[in-house]
Formats: sequence, C-alpha cells, structure tokens
Amino acid sequence: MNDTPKRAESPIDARAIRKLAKLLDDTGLTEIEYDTGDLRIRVARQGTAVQVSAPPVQQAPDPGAPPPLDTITPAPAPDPTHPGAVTSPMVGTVYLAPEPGAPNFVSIGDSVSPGQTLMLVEAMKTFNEIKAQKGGVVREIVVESGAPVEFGEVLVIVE
Amino acid sequence: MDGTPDLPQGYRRLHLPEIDSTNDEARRRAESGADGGLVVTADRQTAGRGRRGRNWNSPDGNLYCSILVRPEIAPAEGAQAGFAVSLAVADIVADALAHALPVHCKWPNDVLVSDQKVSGILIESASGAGRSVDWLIIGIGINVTSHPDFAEKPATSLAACGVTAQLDDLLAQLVAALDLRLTQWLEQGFDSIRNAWMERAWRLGEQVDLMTGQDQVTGAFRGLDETGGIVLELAGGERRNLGHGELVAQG
Repeated sequence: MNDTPKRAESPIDARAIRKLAKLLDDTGLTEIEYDTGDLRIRVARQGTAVQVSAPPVQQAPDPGAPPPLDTITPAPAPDPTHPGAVTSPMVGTVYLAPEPGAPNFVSIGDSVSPGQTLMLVEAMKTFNEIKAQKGGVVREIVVESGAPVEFGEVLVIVE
Repeated sequence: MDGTPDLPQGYRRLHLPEIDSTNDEARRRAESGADGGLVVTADRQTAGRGRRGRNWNSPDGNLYCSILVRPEIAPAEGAQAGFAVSLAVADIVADALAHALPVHCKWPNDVLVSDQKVSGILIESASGAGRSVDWLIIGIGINVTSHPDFAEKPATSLAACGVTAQLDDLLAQLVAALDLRLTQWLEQGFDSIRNAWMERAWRLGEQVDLMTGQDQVTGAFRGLDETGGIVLELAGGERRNLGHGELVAQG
C-alpha cells in the first residue's frame, strides 16, 4: 500500500488510510484515490500477489516458468483479485441474456474478444452492458440471471 | 418528419422512416465510434423495445428517438440518468399540455399524465476497461397521436389529452429540455436532479406498495435516496431504501 500526501505539512490521517485500505479489500478494486482539496491519499495494490482473507487455491507459479495453460481449476469462492475476474461496476440486478427467452450472451467455454458483451447489470431500469476487457475463454459464470449483485462482486471469469 | 428541427448545439439528427429500434441503431452507431450528441429518430419501429424485451408498440404518429451521449460518469452513476431524462420528458409534456393536466414522474422513470403513462424511457449503457461508461443511450417514446390500450396499465397520448403536437417541434423541445437536465445533473450533481424530481414525484408522501417480485413492501413514499432508490416509511416507522420494484398506488 502507498500513502502519498501531496503536501508535507498535511497531517497523515492513518484512520482514513486504514478505511480506504479496507474499502480496497471489500470492493476488490486495485486503486482508490481520495482527495479533500489539500490532502490526497492514494491506496493501491502492488502487483497481483496481494494477501486475501481466503487461502490461495492455486500454487504460486515459479516466476521463471510459463504459466500453466490447460489446468481448469474452478475456484471454490469467487476472488475479485483473480486476474480473469470481471467484477460488477455497480449495484443492481444481473441478466445473462439480452431478454427473457433469448440465448445467453456467453456460455462457459466460449472464446470472447475484448469489448464483447458478457452480461447486463440493471439499476433503476438503466441497463449497463458488461464488456470483456480482454480476450480469453469464459471459465466460470459466477452469477445467476436475475440475481442481485453488489459493487465489486465477481460476475464471470475470463482467462 | 422530414424537416430539420433546431436542435441545441452539439446535437445532430439522423432520421429514418423505419428502423428495428432507434436504441439499436444508436447502439450500432456508438459501437462504430459515433460521437455523442447523435439523435436517432424514426417514423415507426418494427421492433421497438421496452424493459427486458417488452414490446413497445410503435405505429406512425408517435415520437421515437434515441440520444447517444458519452458522459464521463461511472457505470453506477448511469442509473441516475433516468431521473434527469424523465424530468425532461415531464417538462415538455407539461408545456405541451399548457399545464392544464397533472404531469408526474413515477419511480423510477415513467411519466404520467392524470395517472396514465404517456412516455416510455429505456436507457442503456456499456462499460469495459475504462473508468467511465463507453456510451449511454437514452431511448424515449412519447405517445403523441395514439397509445396502447392496456387494462392493467392505463396509457394516454397527447392527442387523447386534446393536444395536437408537431413531431419535429416536440423533438426540438425534447432535446433542448434533455440537454438542460443532463447538464444540471452532470454539473450540479444528482442532488439537484433528485430535488427537482421529487417535486414532480407521483404519490410522494402517500401510502404505496412496491412489488419486488415475490415480495411486497407497503409504506409511505418519503423520497429518493442518494442513489435514486425509493425511500419507504413502514408502519412501525422504520425506513427502507429499495432499488427495484414496481410502484403501485393504494386504493
């Protein structure tokens, strides 16, 4: 974690930093910046190897070795720090298909390209398409259609 | 609708005699990189849509338009757009009716004249790698000359209210009102829109039911929370903030 007060004379608010760090963990974000005008605090994760409350399910890869390609190990709990995790940017209701009766946007095993729509999240009748940030294969669809989702909740894993 | 209505600066119109859905056309244009400010209109839609694939009956004579905007907002803030949009629709409908009939905004984003639905709004957005939405499409249908006949959901049109409106004039008024409300929202914040919306809110202060799928919550409608959720005060005095459901008046 980093704390970067903009001005030397500003008192460092440890409580605020702790609060932001907790928020970072709760939401699964990688970075939070908080600016009060005369004080700016930035809290960020260093790399992807962060400590999470759940024990790691995969063996840490040898930094020199290429990552294993074909080991499909379904995660027991959706982990927002998973590199392939696509998380919800909002509180709302998730839909896997564009409309009732229509096929789902994606299924497990599908190859998706960056920008492809994976699902919808609705809030107050505004429908937001969740798009793949990078290409890959849909490994896991974590949510069910019609279910409520929280901000930062894992929706799908693409890797 | 062949004229070129005077749209506010920054908006341009694409008119089509017939299209599947103006939202779908705006989406296709957005995905091909069209700039914000595009206003897609059509004389009729062959696959007009409401929420979750519900059909929006789209014969000639009514207003069908979709406005593409690209605001710098987080996806979570997109849900606030519906309140700014329904206010804009209520603004121009009230003007068209010369304020002779009550015009209300029904939570979350319906517009009613004398308790009957006169407009439908469908807002769609997309988010990916960036912090803000890629695009936001505001679909608006206004019943001008005709309206569907639903027993359970009474609807009306401007014509049924005794008003003859020119579609081009109405479109120009709508885009101008929308531009004002979107600017108010983006520059002054959601609180400003929330307060204006509550002044037009249908059944504010009254006992209402909110049907949320399997559940029904009954209480006094106290207002909007800071996310746009509805605040109900239950019989025991407890307040509940709810984010989805169908609002129904009691009695």
